[in-house]
Amino acid sequence: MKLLTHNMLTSSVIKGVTKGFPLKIVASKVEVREVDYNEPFIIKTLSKVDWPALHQAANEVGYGEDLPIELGEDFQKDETLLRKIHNALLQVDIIEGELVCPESGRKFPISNGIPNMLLSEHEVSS
Amino acid sequence: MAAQTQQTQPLQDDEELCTIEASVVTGFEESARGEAKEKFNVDVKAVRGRITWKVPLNKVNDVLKMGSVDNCKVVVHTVPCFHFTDQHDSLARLQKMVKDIDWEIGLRAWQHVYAFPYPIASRPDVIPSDEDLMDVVIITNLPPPKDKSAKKDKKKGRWGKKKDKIKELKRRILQSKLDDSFQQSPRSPVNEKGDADVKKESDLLASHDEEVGLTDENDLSMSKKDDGSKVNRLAASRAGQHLLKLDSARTLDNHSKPAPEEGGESLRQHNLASEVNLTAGISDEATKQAAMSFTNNSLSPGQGSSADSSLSPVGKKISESEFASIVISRLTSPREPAPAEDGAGGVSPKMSCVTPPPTPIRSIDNPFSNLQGRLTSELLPFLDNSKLPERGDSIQGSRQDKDDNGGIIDAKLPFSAGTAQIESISVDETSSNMPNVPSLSTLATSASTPKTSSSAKELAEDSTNSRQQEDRDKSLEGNDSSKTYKRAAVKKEPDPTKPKFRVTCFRTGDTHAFDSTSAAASFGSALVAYFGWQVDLKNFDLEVILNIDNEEVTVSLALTKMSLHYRNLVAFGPTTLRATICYNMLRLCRIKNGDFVCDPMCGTCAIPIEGALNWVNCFHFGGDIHEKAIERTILNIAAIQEKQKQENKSSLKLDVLQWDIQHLPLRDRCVDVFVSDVPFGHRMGSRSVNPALYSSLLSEMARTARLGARACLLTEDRSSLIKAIQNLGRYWQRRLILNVNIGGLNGYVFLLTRTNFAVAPSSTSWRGDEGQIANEGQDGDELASADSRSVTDSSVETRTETE
Repeated sequence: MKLLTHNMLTSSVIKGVTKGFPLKIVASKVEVREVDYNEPFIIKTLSKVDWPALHQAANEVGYGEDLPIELGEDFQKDETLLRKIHNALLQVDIIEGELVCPESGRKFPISNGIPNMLLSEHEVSS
Repeated sequence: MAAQTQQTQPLQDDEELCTIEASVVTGFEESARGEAKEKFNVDVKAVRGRITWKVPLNKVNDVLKMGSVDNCKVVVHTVPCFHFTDQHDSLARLQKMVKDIDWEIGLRAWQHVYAFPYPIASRPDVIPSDEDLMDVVIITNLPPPKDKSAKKDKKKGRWGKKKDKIKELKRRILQSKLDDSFQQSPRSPVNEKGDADVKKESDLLASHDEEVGLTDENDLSMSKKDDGSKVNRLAASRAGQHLLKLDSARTLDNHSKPAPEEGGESLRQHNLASEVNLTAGISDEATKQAAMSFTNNSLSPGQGSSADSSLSPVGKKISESEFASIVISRLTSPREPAPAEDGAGGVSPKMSCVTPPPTPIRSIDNPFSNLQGRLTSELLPFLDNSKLPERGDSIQGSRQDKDDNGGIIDAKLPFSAGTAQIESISVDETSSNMPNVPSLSTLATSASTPKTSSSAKELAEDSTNSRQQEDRDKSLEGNDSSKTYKRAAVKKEPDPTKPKFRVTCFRTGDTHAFDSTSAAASFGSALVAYFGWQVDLKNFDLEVILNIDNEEVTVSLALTKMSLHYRNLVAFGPTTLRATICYNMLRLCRIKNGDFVCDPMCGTCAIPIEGALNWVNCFHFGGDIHEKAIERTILNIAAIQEKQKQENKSSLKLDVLQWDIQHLPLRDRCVDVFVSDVPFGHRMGSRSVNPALYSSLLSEMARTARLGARACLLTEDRSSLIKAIQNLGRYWQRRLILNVNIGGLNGYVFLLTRTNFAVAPSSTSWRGDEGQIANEGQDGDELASADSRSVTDSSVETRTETE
């Protein structure tokens, strides 16, 4: 699972959870795969992602040191920063681990790079 | 090519254009056309199922990289209006066409894709004459034509099938009536057995005025025979027809209002029995019984059951004599027999073409070649697969020896050779001192020779005449030896400098006098004569495609050995979508750089993988609920990532989750494009849950869709999806519905766009039922205005919140 995907995930679907974003990551196996760098894509994506969530997630998997806490105004011209962001967003891949709901503590397992977000009967509205 | 400055120098590869035709999944022609236009910058013609355009030779390989097409070929020749006539003429003219085609461009284009170690001449050094080319090959040992009515029946209900039965019965009655009036009957009811029944029949016969035709001589000859049983048979069969004529009127009255099931059955059996007697020789017993049943039937029409016995082996034991006489009788009948299988006989009725038809080609030696052509097509229904020798199959592409005729009728049969063969074979029909056989019967028997060589085996058991047996064996042997000779001829040293090829013929239309196998064989035979290429149906280098669509004939060379849709995936689920269909669906959505593309029901991940390979500047992800689908997805993704690695390409921007679409774990407004093949309700899911399923899908998609999002959904259950869209019409607007052929099913591709109406955020924290979303709609207007602000503000907003 890539961090870009994680940035979209929420556990708000669970009954009673109001703020299910962002999910905490507990990673046991992480890989880095090379993905072609495409600047326009990164820039456009940055306008969609939730930066603090990304920053937190990157730190949780151990690739967050290079990322600033806040995204400044001139990030578009900073190529090194963009490349680091590219790395965090697309190249880091969580193979094994867990996603944890920040509110309820419900764990979603990740195996073979695929998180299982299925809920049980009592967790959703009947 | 050496650089020359003369004008005769062939154009360079980037200037020379060839015509490419590519097949497309029906329904997506416009989409494929768009892709071709973008990639090649030319005008592209689209008709049902295919697109055609011109491509410079050096870009032929790019055609194979297209995502929306399945099979590609380079067209070398088109004839808009071929004016098909009878079998021999049509096939001969097809063969003659080989000479008139300019093979050069096609072969060059082909060589861009398939490197053949030797140059392939587009024109032979010695161009064979027309006569050498026109060596028509007709394949006769074909299985009986497919019963297309069975397929149609499937679609009809109970009443449709009943209607068909009634129609069928009426037709049979009419046909047998007409057959009678034209059928010739013998003047001499010679009958050594002198059965009471037969006498009765002969009395009846004698009372009619008969037309005496050539059959008489055959009958005479037959009567000379020792084996009177055959005469009996023939007489009986003729009698049967007459009785039928008498009977049909009566039975019609009796069955005027048939309860289609029972009455129809017996009537049909009755008719069948008569037809059987008309067409086939049956064992004595059966015929006698049938004859008896006819007489019985004249008294009590209701009994169809006795006719049952005559229904047994139709066509199993046909002797040449009956065969010949039947054939002759059919020939001399001024009109065509009604059961027209598979385009038997006849000129195409209407020619809407402007160009005058060319003069038909008749074989010079054989003035009755026309009839022979007809003979073959009419014989087709009589011929039984099991009877003919196997080697008929190996005919394609090899020249016919003049003495050889097993399974194939060589229409160019020179008269003398024909007669010679006939003499050896027709011994049981004629006595040894048979006078001049009239040409027509010669023809008939020569046509029957394929049957002879095989039926000879069976008759050899019956016949007591050793001479006949001897001669038949001789003819068999002769056939065998020529068989081995032919095989030897085919299996000579393969010439590595010549490509191996096959001809595939696709034929559409009702009015052709030939079938695709014969056309392919004839065309192939002409190609062998022209180029000297070798035939290999399985391990071929070059595939020549002969496409006959009613009056239009197209010759092309295949550029794809396997359809291009076999790509990307290694693990398949029960409903995995073809890669070309995935591609076309993605194309419909006009995906822009930077888009997030989601398949909420991805199955084996066909769509996201196809998307990630072709739209590299986007992020593709998907999800499925089923464990098995996830397993297969893992395999597929691993395989494709591995492939990318090996080709030194970047890893794919691809991700998959396991989720339930009714509770999508996605934040609001994060997806730009949805593309999905949703469960039809047959192999996957069930029709009864579809309405609820589609509604939840659309509502969750509505919540997670960004401004200006599009959704492309494929389903067969059109009505359920339309209802769901209507229920959620506030959020989704229907833009397009395409009718697409999904493996024979009628699929519908819906293209929807997301309206600006927002889904209320309060409802997103806890998913209630649909009603809640609807209630919240009043707030929608406020939120809509909020949404219309530029999207880059969203990150700013989030930051302020956390502070």
